[in-house]
Amino acid sequence: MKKKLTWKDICILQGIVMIFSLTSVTAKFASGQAAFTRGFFLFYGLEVVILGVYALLWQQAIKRIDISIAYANKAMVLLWGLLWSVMIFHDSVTPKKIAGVLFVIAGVCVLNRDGRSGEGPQASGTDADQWKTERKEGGKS
Amino acid sequence: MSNLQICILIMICSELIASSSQILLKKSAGIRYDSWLREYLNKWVIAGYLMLFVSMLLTIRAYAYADSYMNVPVLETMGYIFVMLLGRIFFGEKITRNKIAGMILILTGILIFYL
Repeated sequence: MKKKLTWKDICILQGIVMIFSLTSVTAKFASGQAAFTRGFFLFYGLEVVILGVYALLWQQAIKRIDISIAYANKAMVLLWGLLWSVMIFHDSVTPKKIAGVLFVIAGVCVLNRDGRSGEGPQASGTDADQWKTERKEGGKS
Repeated sequence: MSNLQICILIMICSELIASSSQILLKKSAGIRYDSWLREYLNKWVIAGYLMLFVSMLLTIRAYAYADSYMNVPVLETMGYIFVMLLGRIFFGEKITRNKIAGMILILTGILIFYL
């Protein structure tokens, strides 16, 4: 019943984690704004929107992926967070941080070798079918 | 009780609530609904996100008792272990050798990153 995660599963999962990691960027921008200014509302508003999109997608992803696996994939926010901090905030990267991220990537790769849920509403059919049905039913989510 | 102990206690509560909320979300994901709106507007998902909100407030509180900023993200890693255990209990998700090995690598990585 258990199958390996497909590359598509992993990419979708990582896309969602990447979206989630953007909330740390908006939070940091928001914290730099004076309270109740236009920038303050803009960045907090953006954070809520990103969280909402993340929540919509997450619910779709965990339909067919083990919750223990999906949740552990969220550890990759470490990588995304590091990327944003370097690219956007020009923070320095230390070897310690790179080593930490490499361990997390290795861990997530090992973990993703298991973990497609056999249960769930679309348990039957091929992978492609499952995503297709979902898109039809889920509309634009 | 020292501040760090309080911080740890708050984080245990916070992560227990956060991981339980994932179980509620997964529970909803296993149900087939008539409309896509119902996939989100149902008791499981709404309760799940209310719990996540409570957990978020607790985590913010925990920062006030932390010795240093890295206490909280390190303590947050408990959540990964909780979700794995709860997934086993409620959905029979086997704790395989790959999952244990992966989890050890992930936790090590987070410790290296923050400590």
